[in-house]
Amino acid sequence: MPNQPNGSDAIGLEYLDSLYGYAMVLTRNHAEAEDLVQETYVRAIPAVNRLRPESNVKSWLFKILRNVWLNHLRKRRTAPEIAWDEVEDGSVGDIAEPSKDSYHIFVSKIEREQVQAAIQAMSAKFREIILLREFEELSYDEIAGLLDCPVGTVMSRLARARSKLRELLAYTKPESSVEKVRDEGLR
Amino acid sequence: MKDCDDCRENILLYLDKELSVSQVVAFRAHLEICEPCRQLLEAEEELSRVLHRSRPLYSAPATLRDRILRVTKGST
Repeated sequence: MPNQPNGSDAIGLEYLDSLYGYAMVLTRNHAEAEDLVQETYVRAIPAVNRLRPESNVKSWLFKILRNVWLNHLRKRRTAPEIAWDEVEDGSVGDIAEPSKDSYHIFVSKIEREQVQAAIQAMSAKFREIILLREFEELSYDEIAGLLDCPVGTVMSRLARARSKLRELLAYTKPESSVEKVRDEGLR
Repeated sequence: MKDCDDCRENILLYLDKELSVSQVVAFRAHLEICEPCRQLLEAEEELSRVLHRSRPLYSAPATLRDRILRVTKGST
């Protein structure tokens, strides 16, 4: 990348949360996600000068992270599609708190935890596409490039993932702590 | 818009404002006569709002930030 300093400054840590989020939906494990992000930076920094100026740095970093993850899975001698769903669920959630009053922070936290839990309950392919599109806002073309599949596949997978997510969130809704807290808050 | 299948295929494109003007007209015309598709659109809109409120899904721990800086220090 032109006119950029060396080391981690060359890429910057502004992508750290995005990379960590992507790593978390792939691994569902904090320690593995941290290792994956670290390895992504280690691999990306020596290659950053070869990146074309018009390149999308975030997509490029996601591609590196994904390749590192797939290599790890191959080393475990398991097929990626199977292994993705065999990974232990160690997710807990580092939740970023919005700057609202304590009541709204509490409600937001619960809602985010429900969304995290629902996403982590889905298959790896669904988790991945939801994260890339709904949280990282990659375009359909960027996602197709990253996943190495046609745009039509991206769109149909996203539609199925959203349908599954709606189902999962609706399933938890009657027990929803958010609604409960809201109701109790009104008493 | 021929039927519900077409409508449902276009819901995400509609939410992303990726439909052409003529497609939007056909999409909305179908919604006016189809309650199930209208409900589906509302459900998709609500899901988008929930997901938007949940951003960021995860935040990297401060220890990871320090670790990256330490490991990459001096790299080229």
